[in-house]
Amino acid sequence: MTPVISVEALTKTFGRFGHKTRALDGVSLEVGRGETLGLIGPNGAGKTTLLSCLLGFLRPDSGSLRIDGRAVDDLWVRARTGYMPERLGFDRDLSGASFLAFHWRLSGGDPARTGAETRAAAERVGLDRLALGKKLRTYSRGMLQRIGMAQATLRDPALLFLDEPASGTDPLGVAIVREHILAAKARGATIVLNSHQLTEVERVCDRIVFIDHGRLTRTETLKGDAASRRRSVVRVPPDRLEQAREALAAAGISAEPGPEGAFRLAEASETDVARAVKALALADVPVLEVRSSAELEELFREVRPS
Amino acid sequence: MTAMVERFLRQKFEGPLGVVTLAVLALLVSTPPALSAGPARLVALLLIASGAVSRDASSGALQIILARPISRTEYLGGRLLGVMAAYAIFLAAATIFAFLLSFQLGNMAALLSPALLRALAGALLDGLQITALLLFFSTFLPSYGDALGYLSLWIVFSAADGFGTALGRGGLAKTARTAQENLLPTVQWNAVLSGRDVPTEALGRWALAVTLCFVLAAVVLSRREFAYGQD
Repeated sequence: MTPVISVEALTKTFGRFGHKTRALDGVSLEVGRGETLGLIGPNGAGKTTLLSCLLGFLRPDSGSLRIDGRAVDDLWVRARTGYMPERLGFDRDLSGASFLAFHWRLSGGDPARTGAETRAAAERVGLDRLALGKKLRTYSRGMLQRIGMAQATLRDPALLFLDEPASGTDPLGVAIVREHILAAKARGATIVLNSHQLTEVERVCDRIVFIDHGRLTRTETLKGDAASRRRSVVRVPPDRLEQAREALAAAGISAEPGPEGAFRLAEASETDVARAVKALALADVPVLEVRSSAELEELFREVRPS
Repeated sequence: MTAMVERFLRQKFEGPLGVVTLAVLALLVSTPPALSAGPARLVALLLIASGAVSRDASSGALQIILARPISRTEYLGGRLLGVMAAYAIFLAAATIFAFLLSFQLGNMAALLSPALLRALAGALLDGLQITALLLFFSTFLPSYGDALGYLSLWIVFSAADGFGTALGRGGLAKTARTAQENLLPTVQWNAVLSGRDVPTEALGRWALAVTLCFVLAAVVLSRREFAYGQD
């Protein structure tokens, strides 16, 4: 995969005169074109600092940062970038419509299409005309997150930087954010996502990197052939448990039976899961549920024991 | 750039409090002697211009804007033009009030003269110089620190001049006057705009002060870092 984002030996220190904090300590990573990368780590690990460096808000002390071979603050790069910050406390005297219209025009959108495009963007995140007419100061946290997502995805940017996009939203808001990320993925956008919502990260990211104390401590591939082995559960009717166990054993798949007809396939690859489902189907055992998970929470605990 | 100016105008005029305050000040400016109420004009300009950059930076709006294809100098130019557009609207409102008052008093002739246009243009040009200085302060001072910076500068120069003269310290008084003449120059715009007795030295100082303040603001803003979030 061609790297779009290249980060090499990045360091960033805050503070002066003996009170220095090293927010990033030799971080190196690459993000391929069309890849969705999740940044995982505890509070204060350096995730937002890394995003801020990628967006050109902060200048690293040393190391290099390139996006498509260009400087991060190159206007060509910015014309292809969408950004959603975690904190949305800005332009509170503007209406939602004015806010989106401003960003549409700032991103180089056709002024004649401002109204139609901003209304469509708002509708996609579940904000109607009434909500658009209200001032941002009257918006709830969830509404602000939605309009933030709408502005970030205006003009379908090729690069998306999302900082806790679903923070503070209701379940519907979380689903809308997820749909937007998946839609951006489907059209080939490269996405960097910083989020504490591990379930959502797992659902949308191709790869995750763990950051702790400014260092990149672990990388896990979640999707595709190179995906790390995952823990998967296949559930069959409880009265067909024995038949299912025999079918899986015959296919050479190691499975541990659990309650209510569930089999746990330990450390299974995507291919192993597919083989298990095929074996059960061939043995005429109904498959009620298949769950596959990288169990990021467990990985998180491994990387950063509390 | 148009979008930046439009956003600034919306920020200033979409809220009822700002509009009412500026309307009251416009009314004050329009009362006789029309359009010469310098302090009210200055207060209005400070209300319009102060925090132009710093409030965007502290709220996080600037970071989202800078993620768009716009350079920091363009952003600064947009803020400068936005302030000037808002100030022009304020002066236009004051002029309309002045016309309405004159019409009521039956004294329209005093307003229907080229001197009015010159006074308006002069107020705008004075406003440009003050705005450039406020923008410079706003690039590194938080919140409304730019207005405080401007007023402090004015007070320090005036006090140093006054004390220097009173205490017989000519050097101090001269230094303060020179600094004030260069950073906060006073131009007789009526004379300049009517084409007679053009004080080229004062005009040069004004042009230099505007350029210097804007360039310094652009340099400071281009070097500033903007942290976002805590981790």
